[in-house]
Amino acid sequence: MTSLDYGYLDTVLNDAREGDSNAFAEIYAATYVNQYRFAMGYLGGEEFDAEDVLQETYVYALTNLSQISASSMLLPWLFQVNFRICYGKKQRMPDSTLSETAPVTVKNIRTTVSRILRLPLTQSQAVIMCDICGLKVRKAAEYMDMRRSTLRSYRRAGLKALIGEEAVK
Amino acid sequence: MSRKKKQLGPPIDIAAQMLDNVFATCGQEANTVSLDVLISYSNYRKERFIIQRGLIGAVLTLFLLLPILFITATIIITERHTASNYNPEYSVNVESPVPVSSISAEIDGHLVTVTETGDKEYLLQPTRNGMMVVTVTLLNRQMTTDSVEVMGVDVTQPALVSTSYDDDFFYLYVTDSESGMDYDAVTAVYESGAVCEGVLCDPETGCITIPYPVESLNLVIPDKGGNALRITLRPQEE
Repeated sequence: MTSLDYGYLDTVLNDAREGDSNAFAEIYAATYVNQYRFAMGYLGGEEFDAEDVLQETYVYALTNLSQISASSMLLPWLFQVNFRICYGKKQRMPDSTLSETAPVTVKNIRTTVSRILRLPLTQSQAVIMCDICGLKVRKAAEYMDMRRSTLRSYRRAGLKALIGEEAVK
Repeated sequence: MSRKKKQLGPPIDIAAQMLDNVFATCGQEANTVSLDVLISYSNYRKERFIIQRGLIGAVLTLFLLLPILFITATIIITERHTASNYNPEYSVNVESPVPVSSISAEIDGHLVTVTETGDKEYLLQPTRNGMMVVTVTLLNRQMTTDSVEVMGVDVTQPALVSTSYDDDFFYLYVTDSESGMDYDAVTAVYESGAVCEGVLCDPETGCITIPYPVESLNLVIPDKGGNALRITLRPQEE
């Protein structure tokens, strides 16, 4: 069951887009804890790195709020921004072999991170959280504030789309 | 050893500082409502109203259902006579929007048979005369009673007027002053269990002719009101 009031957040989002700092602060209050937990988990528990990622994520969010039209897309969008920043950080680490275009295998599907990021937002985020970041469905659903069954549906649709792309190749 | 509470996010002062940094980086004025106030009010959370809504819903439901608890029934009792039954029967209709939980009827403490014949329709067949009290209880525990004087129930068994016999037959003269004799239902069974054949009934004279019994014979002579005269005939010992 979802815990955020998306009807209320739609109003706050509109105000934030118009430059209301208190409205943006409310969006931050509603979302920053799980963003931090996600970054901490992906970066191996490094607090300072996670704080950096958090700050960068919300700087991007504040300057690009026009990219999302509804508050229901807020969490997947923030997590995708968060993931990109975390992934970039890991790429820049010494001896890193990570690359958005390097092949990865997800559920026996050969693909790349960049292809996954091109999927529809909720599908790509579901695949990234469960199959790239290795989160359990329960935790990923909690982060994305959606039912486990909903997350599983998005993940299935994303994987199906990736299989389709693989077949076309 | 006490477990340290797991901190889920950064400490709130650090979180607030980061938010200030975000606004500063973007060249926007910082928030005037502090982060801890926003978190404590948590207007963005859904659950804040669930308990209140639940309580209001429960109270409203109680208020709406309260009048139903006081709805009573109207009992309509109608006497009816049928050709097949001499004794009076009574049909009972219960008028109420609330379903019936139970219905009972009694005369002087003796229960009367109640049969359900339809939706909130019942048939009562008293077997004695007197004041019959009908009690209906609805699902909301409301009880309604009504009563009717029952008269005309035949409670008297047929009477034996006289007897006579000869070498071959035994003659019984019977009469019933109320519902009348039910000659078709007369039975004669020997003590051994064998049925006595050849029993003849004359409704005009009221005479029941039985082959002279060679062993004890149990006779049941009913009337149309359900009462029966029971006689045991034993052959004379020589």
